[in-house]
Amino acid sequence: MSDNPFKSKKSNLRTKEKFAYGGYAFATYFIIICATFIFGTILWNGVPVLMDKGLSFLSHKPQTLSVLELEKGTGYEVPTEHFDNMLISNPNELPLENLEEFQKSFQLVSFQIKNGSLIGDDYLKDIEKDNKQYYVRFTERKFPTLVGFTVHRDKKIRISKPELEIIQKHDPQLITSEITEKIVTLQNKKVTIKAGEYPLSKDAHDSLQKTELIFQMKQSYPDDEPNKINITIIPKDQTITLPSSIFYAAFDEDEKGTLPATKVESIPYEKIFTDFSLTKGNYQTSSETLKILNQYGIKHLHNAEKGAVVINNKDEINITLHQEKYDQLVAHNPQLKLSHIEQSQQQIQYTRFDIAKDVEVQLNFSDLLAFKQDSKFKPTSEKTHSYSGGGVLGPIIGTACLVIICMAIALFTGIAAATYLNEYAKKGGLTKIIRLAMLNLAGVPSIVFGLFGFGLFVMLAPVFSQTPNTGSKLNIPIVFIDSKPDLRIIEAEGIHIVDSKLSTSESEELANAAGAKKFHNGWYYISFQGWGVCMLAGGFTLAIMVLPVIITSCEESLKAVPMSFREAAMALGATKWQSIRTAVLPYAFPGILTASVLGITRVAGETAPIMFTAAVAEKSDLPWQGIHTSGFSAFVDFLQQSVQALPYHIYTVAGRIPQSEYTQPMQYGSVLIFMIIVFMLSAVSIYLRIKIRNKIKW
Amino acid sequence: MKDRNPSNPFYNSKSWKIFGLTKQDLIKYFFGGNAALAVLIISGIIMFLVFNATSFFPQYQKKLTLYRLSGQEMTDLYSAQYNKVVELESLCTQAVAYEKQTRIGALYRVTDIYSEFKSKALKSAVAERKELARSQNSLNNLKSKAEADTSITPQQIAQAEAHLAKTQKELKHKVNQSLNDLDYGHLKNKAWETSDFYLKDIRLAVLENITTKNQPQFIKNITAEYDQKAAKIDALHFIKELNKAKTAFSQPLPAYNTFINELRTIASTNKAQGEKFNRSADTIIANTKAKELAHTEEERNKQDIQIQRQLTVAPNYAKLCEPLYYSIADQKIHHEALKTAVTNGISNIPDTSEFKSNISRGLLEDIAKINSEILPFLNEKRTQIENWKHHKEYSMSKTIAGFFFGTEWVTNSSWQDFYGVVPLITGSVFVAIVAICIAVPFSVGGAIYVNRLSSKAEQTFIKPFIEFIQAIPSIVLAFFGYIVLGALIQKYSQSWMFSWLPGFPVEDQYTILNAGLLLALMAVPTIFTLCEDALNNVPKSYKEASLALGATNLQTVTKVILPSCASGVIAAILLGFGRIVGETMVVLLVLGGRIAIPGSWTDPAHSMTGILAQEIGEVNEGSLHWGALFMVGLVLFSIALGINYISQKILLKYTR
Repeated sequence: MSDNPFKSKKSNLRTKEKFAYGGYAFATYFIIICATFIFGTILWNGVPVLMDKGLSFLSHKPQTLSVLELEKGTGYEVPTEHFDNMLISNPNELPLENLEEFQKSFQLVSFQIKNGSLIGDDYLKDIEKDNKQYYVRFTERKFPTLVGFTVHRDKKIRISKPELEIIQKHDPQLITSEITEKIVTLQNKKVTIKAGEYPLSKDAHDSLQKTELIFQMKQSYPDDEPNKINITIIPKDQTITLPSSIFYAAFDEDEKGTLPATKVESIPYEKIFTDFSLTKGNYQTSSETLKILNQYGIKHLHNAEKGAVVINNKDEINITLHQEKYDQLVAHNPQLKLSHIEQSQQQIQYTRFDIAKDVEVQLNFSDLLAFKQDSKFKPTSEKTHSYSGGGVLGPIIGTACLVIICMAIALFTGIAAATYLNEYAKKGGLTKIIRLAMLNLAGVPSIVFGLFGFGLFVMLAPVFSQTPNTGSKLNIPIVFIDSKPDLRIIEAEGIHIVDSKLSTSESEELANAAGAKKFHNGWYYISFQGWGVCMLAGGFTLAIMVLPVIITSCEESLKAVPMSFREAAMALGATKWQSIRTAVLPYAFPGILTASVLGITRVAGETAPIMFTAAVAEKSDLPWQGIHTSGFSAFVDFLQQSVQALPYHIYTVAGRIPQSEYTQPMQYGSVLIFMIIVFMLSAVSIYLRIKIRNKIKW
Repeated sequence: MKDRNPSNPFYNSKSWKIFGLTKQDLIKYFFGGNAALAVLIISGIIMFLVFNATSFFPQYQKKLTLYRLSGQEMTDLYSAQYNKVVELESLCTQAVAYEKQTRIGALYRVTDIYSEFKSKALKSAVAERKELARSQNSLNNLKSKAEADTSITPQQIAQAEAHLAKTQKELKHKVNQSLNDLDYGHLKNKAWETSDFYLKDIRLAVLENITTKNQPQFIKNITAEYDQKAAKIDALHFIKELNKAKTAFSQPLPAYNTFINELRTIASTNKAQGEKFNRSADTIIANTKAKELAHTEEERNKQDIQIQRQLTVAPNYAKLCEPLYYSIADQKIHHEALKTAVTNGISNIPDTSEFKSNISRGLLEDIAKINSEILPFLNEKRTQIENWKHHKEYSMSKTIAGFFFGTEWVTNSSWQDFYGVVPLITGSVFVAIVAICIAVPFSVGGAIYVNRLSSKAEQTFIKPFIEFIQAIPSIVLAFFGYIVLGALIQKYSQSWMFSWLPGFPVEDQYTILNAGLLLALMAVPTIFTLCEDALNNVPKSYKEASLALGATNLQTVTKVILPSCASGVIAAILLGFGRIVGETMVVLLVLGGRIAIPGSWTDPAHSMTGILAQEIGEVNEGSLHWGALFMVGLVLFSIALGINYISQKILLKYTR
């Protein structure tokens, strides 16, 4: 019966089926195994880091980690707070012995500064560093009649005769030592050079820059070839006078690449120098004297060129300083008027310890500073690893800020757009175009959004400013306000002050010529200069990126609200908007919530769009710190600052700094924290979706 | 109707109009406006990219024109000849080195492993070594003092000696301990060939070296053995032939190099002059303005001098290029020398059959490939040199072609920048294809399994899990690839099990393969979810009919259900592809960052997204480089949009 067509010799269908079944199951579980392997690796390496560092990983900012080699020694004393930090940042046991806690007391002085006092620049900065609440927006500078400084070692000084005369006029009692005079004869040279083309070396070229010689270089000197000799054109016969030092640099016949002079004439002249010495001690002199001494290596914290700051604080703020600093401040600033001076004591918990064995210690930068206060602390070697110490507080906060700004924008627009598409739109041209645009927007690579955000928000977006950038695309004056920005801001940002009669373009040119980045001519401008790398730019970029997702899922949840709700509302006489507001949106709310959590998950994980719109690797302040304005402008300043962000931080510690075993804890720790945050968010969204699906049935 | 019930929540007492629009209209238009934002944004992106990219081609054309005028183009023709022969020479050298490495085996790396272990052991025992040095010092001090000072008792010296002995012992113990923890897994380069045979001896040698500071006998033996083996290999006839070929190739090179370098200096000086002249017009305008606005006479004079110092004599390129034209005749000799050297060399290249190393064999094949085309190549360059004219116009079409078909992306070069997008596109597309090839079987297979074959309990576990995979941020995957996966692939690809695969064993950590694996994992959730949707949408009747006809479950799936939702599956794959092409962080960190057209899937490469992320932060707005990057962005955008559009079209068609 072998010709029966239905008879098969052997049916291997069942085995085949089993194999195929196994294959499909393998494909599925292989995906799961791969993902689990990745999670597992990160957990395996990350959990010990978090266990070691504990909560401090979340409560510290990223810092530079220093790896020090310490020799064994006894009697190290550091504040207990930093000692504890040291224990946290070292995963290995340190050979510490004889731990002992004790109180150390410091003399403090608290006082207030009266308005109208004069204070040197860096003294003020010192005070502000120790007292964060104190910030002077000064508007005026004055040269004080008396300034103080300390000479720590006997110092010999040589100055020219006219300078000495100025000093003797203002401070006749300053110089007590013997003054010796010395006459030096110097020479100027009068040089004639013929027109033509000559080879010229870079050194000769640089020294000729300061003279009045007219020459045209055929090429510029490349940075990587300092010895190159280029050809220069002397367009006409010239005769110039120059100091002999420049003459020997540019016209020396023995050197290569110097110019041939046809006629040289020497013009000698005399200069008188005077020598004297200052013994160590405190001095008080006039500003003019300080200005001269400043050039000869007298160390002080005054600004000798611009003068002292006039204090003009509105509020009375208490300042606290250590006794030594206070003494120095008072001695060096005779025109400083203080009130409410009070002495007090501060007790700080210290730990004393010995190190039993030579050991390698890892310290965060802020702890290292505290350790270096101890004179016994002398590491034999010190290596630093950027961003590898401390924790991830800054990045977490930064990411949270970005997400909040982004979602505020995206939800507002997204819900409105979804409402239009679901409730108002009729099938037609516009709706079709909108849907097509959304569809395509969803497929745009995230880096292109980054590019777009960089070009639009960072470089082009408009700002309102009294001090617009000179490089702005377009400056439109709106209204004339006759108020200057504070002197402190003018100095800090290099603002060029221009006469208010000048037009915008003239002001811009003038500021440009002066090399200033910003100008001010009394007008208030809309300036298309971009927001800079800041949270707002990043938030907008992320919002644009996530918009299609938000619109689509909001629309889904609006669609899920039954038609009868709307009909019932309308039947009761509600207008369209009333029916949407009372009968549709409240019931779509849970769905919108899910959509927003989904959006947050996506936004929090993105790196490419914020790479050049919002994120920076290094920032010492949290977003709300270091803002000195108030009211609305404080809010604008808050939004217009760059932030650290968790994904960008991971990119920095993983890809942009040299790899070593010391950076690894930071890498795995921040990745694990990031994964935990993202997974919690996505678990919430999955949970919400399931709950809504089960709960709400119309 | 004044008596409407005021307790009705919808009672509206007032209605008003602005410009003929009621409140309702305004609300509607407000919502509509928000919806229209999507259109605005996408057109904004397109306009913006185009606007920033338009300045690129004219600027690039200007640059390339100067490149020709200055004679750089011509010297690059010389260099092309030179580089080709250098490539041959270096391939020969590499082939010999790899052959040696293979034939010598694990012995080849013993000394390297020894020094790496040594540095690790030294590091772990820093404290002990310092202690040893200190006790040695104090002992020496005591001894030298004891000669002069009688107050030091022999007891003290004995004590110090005992301490020294103790510290020595401690050091030995510590080193021993850390050595026992070290094995080949700790090596930085996982691609090194290792053998357990040497491990114990290496450890002992390190210990001996650290404690006694002598060169261990073992290492001496190994070096001697290595030299012996290397000499034996050098004496093999085919290695001899290869070395002879190498010598032949390298013979004319030094003279030609000097010849070219002289000309290159001339050309780059010409270019510098051209650039200086082009800039001077702008500088004069800026300085004139500054002069007008200056306050003091002194300032005005200064600006005046600056203006007069600008180069106003246009460079005479015909005269500047004269030495280049003269060189054509001299180059004839070098050209002939190259040709004879190449013919000599080729005749000496041995057969591949006797080579043991796979890599060497591959290199020899490369040599053979170059050999077949090198003589025509040299002649072609010679003709190009003879016909070269500095004043020939550099056309716009050639500039555009130079961007879209150029194989060089060189930036911040002191010689000449080139913006050719081909290596970037090939990198991006190659890695996406590798990723899709890996992802498709798993994700489509997984979708079929979950949708048709698995149990309910499996479904409730697998689907959320895959959603979790989707939630993994790309930077986390990039990090994983950068720190973990690269080293893993490098290590395990050395195994004999994978030697049949092309491109294996993998030499670098960061390669297309590495990035492709991660991108595959990224594409899986997208493809999986969409595929599952497609499978879900197949009517139940299809399955029932098929089963009723006697088909098995598997037959139903493969022959009935899959074909009926094929377009959905294809759309899913395309969407996954689109997502991968646009992915940034993984390719930025893991792809290796080598800007060259990749030859195999285990080479490093660079991508369009990677180059944007890497370079856009460092260029000046409006510069040539800026324009080039925006052009790349535009190309990327078009590719992604095209893929997205096609897949959406397919998806739409099939859902109807």
